[in-house]
Amino acid sequence: MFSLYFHIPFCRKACHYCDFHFSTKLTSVDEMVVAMARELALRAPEWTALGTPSTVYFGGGTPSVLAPDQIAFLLSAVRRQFPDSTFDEVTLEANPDDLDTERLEGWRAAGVDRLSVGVQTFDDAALEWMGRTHSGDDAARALERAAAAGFERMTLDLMYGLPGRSLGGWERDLARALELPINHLSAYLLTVEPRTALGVRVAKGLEQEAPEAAVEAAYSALCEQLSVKGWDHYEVSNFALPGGHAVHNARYWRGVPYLGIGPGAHGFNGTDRYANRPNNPLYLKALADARSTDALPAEWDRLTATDRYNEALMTGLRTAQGLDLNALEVGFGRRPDVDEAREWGDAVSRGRLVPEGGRWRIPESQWLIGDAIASAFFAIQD
Amino acid sequence: MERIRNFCIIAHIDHGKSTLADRLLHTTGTITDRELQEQTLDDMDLERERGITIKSHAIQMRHTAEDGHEYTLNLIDTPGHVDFSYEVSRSIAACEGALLIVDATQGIEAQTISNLYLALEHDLEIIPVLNKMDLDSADPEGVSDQIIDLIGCTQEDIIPASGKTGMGVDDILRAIVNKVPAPKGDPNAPLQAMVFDSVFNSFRGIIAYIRVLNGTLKKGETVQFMATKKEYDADEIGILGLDLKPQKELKAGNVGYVISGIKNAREVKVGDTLTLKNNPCSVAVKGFEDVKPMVFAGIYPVDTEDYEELRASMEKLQLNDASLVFEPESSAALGFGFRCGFLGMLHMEIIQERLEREFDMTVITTVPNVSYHAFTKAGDKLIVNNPSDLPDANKLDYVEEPFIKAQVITKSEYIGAVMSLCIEKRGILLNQVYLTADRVEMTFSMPLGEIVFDFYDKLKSVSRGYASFDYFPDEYKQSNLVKLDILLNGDQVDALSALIHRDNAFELGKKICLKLKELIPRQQFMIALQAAIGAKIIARETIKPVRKDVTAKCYGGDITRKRKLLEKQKKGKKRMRQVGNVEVPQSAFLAVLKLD
Repeated sequence: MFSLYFHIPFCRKACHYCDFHFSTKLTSVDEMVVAMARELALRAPEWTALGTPSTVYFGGGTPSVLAPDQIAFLLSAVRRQFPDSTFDEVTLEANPDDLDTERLEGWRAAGVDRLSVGVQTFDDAALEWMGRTHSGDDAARALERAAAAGFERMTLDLMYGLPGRSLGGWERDLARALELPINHLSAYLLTVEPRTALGVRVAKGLEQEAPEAAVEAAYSALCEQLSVKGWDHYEVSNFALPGGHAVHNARYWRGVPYLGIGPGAHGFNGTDRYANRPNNPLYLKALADARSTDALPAEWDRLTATDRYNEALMTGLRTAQGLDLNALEVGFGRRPDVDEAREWGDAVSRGRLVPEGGRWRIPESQWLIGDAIASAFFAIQD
Repeated sequence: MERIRNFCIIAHIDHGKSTLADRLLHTTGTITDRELQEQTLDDMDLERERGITIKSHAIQMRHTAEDGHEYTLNLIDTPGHVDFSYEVSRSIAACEGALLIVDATQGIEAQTISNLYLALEHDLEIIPVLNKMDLDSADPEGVSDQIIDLIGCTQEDIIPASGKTGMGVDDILRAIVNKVPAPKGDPNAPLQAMVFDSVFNSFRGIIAYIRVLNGTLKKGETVQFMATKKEYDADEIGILGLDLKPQKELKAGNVGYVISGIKNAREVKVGDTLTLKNNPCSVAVKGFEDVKPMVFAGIYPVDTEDYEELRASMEKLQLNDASLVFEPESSAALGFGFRCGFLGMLHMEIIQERLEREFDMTVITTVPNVSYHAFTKAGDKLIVNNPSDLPDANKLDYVEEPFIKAQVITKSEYIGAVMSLCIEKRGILLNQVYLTADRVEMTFSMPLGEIVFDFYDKLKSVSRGYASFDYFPDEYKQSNLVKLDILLNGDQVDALSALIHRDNAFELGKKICLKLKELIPRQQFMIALQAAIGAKIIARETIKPVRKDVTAKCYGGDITRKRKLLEKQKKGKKRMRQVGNVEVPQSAFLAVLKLD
């Protein structure tokens, strides 16, 4: 079993905070879809030993720039390469602008059964500040249309920790989101990445990151409002109603292999990881006459056992399920509570780690410093 | 012997010593055109690193003079830093003459003056040379006046020169032959030779550089060092060209080297006298001293498990640097390490860098201090090389600290700034002399302990680089010193303690806390920083805990990137030292040196 990820490297417009790979030049979308099907065909033989893809995720960029027949084309390419596949989940990331009824019905007919909508906020001023092209009302109406078109599994992205945003504004965003027909919510703390418009503005002092106290308050409000309404905070940034948990994304945190297709996509075969070069023209050129995977513009990162151990720690502690130390020991022959006993003891005594059901997890109240907690247990190769 | 000339060069760091020396080597045919070109083609920094000063500690040239005779010219190098003034004095003692090279665009600097006085004390014939005359900014009249004032020569004695164009090189060679006295000495007397330098060679062991004053040394003879009393066979002797040139004998008046299978630098002491075991000379060469460390600091492994490895590394370092001394010590904060003695601050930096570069050790160096004399009420005198060893206040009567005479030469416009700095550093102005209308030499009496802190950097900044500095040790004097302790979350960190003057304690305590706040990264909990004298807290700062440190999105493409970032952070932490619960970076232990 493995997961399948398509990276759709196009956006209609650049958001000021985003450092994912995309191009705003949409003229080569058709050509790109054909090239991605070709990459899939080239890579497939190396993946059959792992079984068949059980989830498909169209991420980006903005996958909703793809028309329903293009999605159908890619999914049929998957079935052609892996004839016995049955999908537990087929997710499409979408911008509210793209959610008209015709497309929504078309995507559903093509096999998409889950939508992830990039709302970010319902505040129009904040949307403009981000460089988004839709309004808050547009987003709300788009989700209503998607529900009417038959989508039962929907998630939306919200963003907190925006410079200058009040706690009240954030609480209104949350309340508004919870009125919508969704069963999953991702709430991301804004990260100022250096190579973005926002990163440059912050570096120049034109903009300041939100104060930590404000971030903490926003996070507390988030946890509290969702818990009251019965949502499960199952990962640092993810919440679900019963039955709404993301299948594809959750598998990343459990070390399930994933086949990544498209420029900028990453793949993981269980031991090593590759990254396709994030360059659309280069990708199209290489795929035009590639005869084997060797010709693909990808870089491999050979993971050592230590690398994978650290990744297991890092991703495991991001989830509410937490880490199974015995499983780690079986898999890697080492345990953080033994190798880093002092840090471990310190974290436990400070309440940064709690045991639950035979597993150790970072409690919700400590997730805002989760990276610092988890990395303390990393094994470091000399 | 009447055709040997032994001379050294006295010059400030970038007054063109190397380039001019290379000119001499080239003109005398000691190095070829190609070898010269290789050097002169290099850029300034590299030239400084690779010039004759580094390559060779002494070099012999052959020069046919106007009288038709061939002369042997031994050029002996002198180290260019105040930390090594004893070595300079031994090099000077091996010569009869000195080239005083002064940059015609810059004038005389403090280092030049102190070395010049050393040369005059040893009755060396001084040949003044005005270098860099090819530059438009040269001021031959002004700088000549400085030189005339200093050594009482005439205008005609000063040789205008340029290492770059070769101007004046023939005049310099002529002056060396005609003015520098031939060495005196009796080749038939018992051997009396002075070690003026030694280097460690990993294949051959210690190579001792000697000046033969009397007698003759023959290859294979059994020799004895008079200070250490140790005996060796002179396996190889010779003179110093670009490479070692083995000879059968070295006679009185000459300069050369001895290799005798010595593996440990401590066995060859600069200034020691070499003689023959079977026919020893009656007196040693005057001026030998056991070099005493001036600055002390603790060196600790970052990882306590590396203690034994650190010891092995320090022992190896000592094999080729006899001036490094160390003994084991333990610190409540840092565990086991060594209290090390250095010749000065530069020497301390060199040692730390060599430990990291050559031995791959990650070490923490604690706040440097000088050697104090503590007198107890019971009348005992204790030598205190570590502030933590100071007796308790109820037993302590008083403390003495070493003072120095400090010479600063600067432009007159910076007198005020230099004066304020030196007074802030508890200096007392002893003398002030105008060398020219706009260059002034100031002499201060100052505590050495203040130089050890951040004096050099501050002097450089207040004078915009237009100040040179030199010092020599003076006497111990009683001072009102207190031990300033630093507490992290209430626990005293002995490695951060320093002895300072009571009047500066409040300000310094505050500054140290502020600096530590900047240097210690925020952690998951709050850190209280306090400065204390005894039980009294005199300053406090707080490092707030980290409240936000998490990756928002961690999906397929983010995992490796994020892992690598977190691994890098963890590696950085590994280079920090755990003191109580607090991760303290190496730099924090030297915070007191970097106060604004």
